[in-house]
Amino acid sequence: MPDQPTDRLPPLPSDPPAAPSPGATGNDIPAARDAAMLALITDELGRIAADKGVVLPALTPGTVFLGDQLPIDSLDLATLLVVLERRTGRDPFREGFRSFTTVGELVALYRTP
Amino acid sequence: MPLPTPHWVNPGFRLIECDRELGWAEIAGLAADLVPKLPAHGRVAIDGRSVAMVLAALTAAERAGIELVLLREGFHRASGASERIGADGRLTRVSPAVDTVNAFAVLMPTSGTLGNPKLVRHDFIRLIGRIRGDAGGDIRWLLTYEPTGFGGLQVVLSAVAAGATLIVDPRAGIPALADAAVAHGASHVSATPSFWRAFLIALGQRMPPVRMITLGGEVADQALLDQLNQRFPEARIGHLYATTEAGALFLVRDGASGFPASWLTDGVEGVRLRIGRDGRFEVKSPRAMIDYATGEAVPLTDDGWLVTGDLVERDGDRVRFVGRSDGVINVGGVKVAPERVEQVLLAVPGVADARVSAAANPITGQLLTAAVVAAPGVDPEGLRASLHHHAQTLLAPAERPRLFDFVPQIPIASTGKKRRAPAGAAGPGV
Repeated sequence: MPDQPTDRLPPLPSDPPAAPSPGATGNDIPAARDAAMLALITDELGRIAADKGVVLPALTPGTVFLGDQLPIDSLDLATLLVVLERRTGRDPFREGFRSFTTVGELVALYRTP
Repeated sequence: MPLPTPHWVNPGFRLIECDRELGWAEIAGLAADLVPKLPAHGRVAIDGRSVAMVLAALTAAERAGIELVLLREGFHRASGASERIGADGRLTRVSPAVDTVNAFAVLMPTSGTLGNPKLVRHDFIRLIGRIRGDAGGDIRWLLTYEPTGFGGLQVVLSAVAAGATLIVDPRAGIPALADAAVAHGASHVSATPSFWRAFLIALGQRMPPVRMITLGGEVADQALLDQLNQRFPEARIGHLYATTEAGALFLVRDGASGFPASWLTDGVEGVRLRIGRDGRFEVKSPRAMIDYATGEAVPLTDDGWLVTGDLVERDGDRVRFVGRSDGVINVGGVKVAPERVEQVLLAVPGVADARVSAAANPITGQLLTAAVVAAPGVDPEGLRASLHHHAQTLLAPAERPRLFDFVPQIPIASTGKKRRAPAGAAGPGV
């Protein structure tokens, strides 16, 4: 389904969309999950940016959220965290704020079940 | 003819504004240029684009014995000022003078931009009543608030009184302020919990030499206090309770949320505190405002206590902030009335009904979301784009609902009011 509205998408399955082949090593599963999370962050932050009429450059694990690399502010980042909670059904911040600076560090926060 | 140094100024004060450094002599020079241009009575206004000019205007207005309105971004109500001082020190005539008391006073809008923010009139001596002029030549304050808001002015005047260095960049975002804190070695930082969270994100591994941390404007959660403690182990951490109306009331220094219940009987820093009807937090403050210059009634109880609008609960030997009596939602320290945002959404073509609620947020404490009923035959996706566009055009960043959910109808509570998600702890406001 192309371009479904952000707020009505079902939660992301806890497994990556492309299930690893039976012969894959155990390390591939977390790597694939990280890749899926990076794709989700790219997609959702892109929508948030589009809503305010700006276009994001490609995100990498090293991209800094609040610096001079992205045209977003702390309220946009706050919005991303709400959307990610809806999409993944997980909230790494349930016990309170945890700091992160880069896209990769945020991906890592969603790694633990 | 140079002006005498005001009593609230330690002449050792230095200002680093957008990487330009000034001493008090230069600010006094700006003030001396302003004095002959000011009207003999009445009211002049200034915005916060230049902290040097705000300080010059305070000095000149005190000298001239007139009222000074400190304007904030998004305040569009007529302030009653006859002239506006530009960041370059030029005066522009804005409206005929109003009748005012001929005395120096500082007028500042309450936070938020929707629904006519009120203009709060403060006596300057009471406004600086919590500020100690201890020598602080090695202190380097970072300004994180708008300089013309209540919290920002407290920081500016604290630095001025201590002869400290003040690092400011009034239009900079959080990343640029993080860069400035590192480049200029900020030692004292006062900010909302939301600012602190975003500041930690922006700092990354960089480590400015912060040794005094003040939080205000929102409830600080224990996880943030712990993070700050871990990140800046040498720093003293306190949270300040202040409102534009009640003034700067007290600083809680013990690292726990809320404040000691013993203060309800003993008072603190010259302020008396009590829990009124339905958990309303009421105070008697020697630092409270004089009145609203815009004419609204001061929110006083029959026996003369000031109603803060915050709700508190006693929990053993602690009193904690649990929300607002007026349903206001605190987004990163900005107080937003959800009904006002709903009125803006309802005016968007294609919207049949709308309800604004608070969603808990790890960075900004709370964030606005909206449930929207689309009019029959209206495409929700087109309407979503239109709602985002209207929000961006008509509302300040903290006032914009960030997510729009389309629903068939808005639930109505038994009271006949729209049912809102619980707003959680809205927290004390600056």
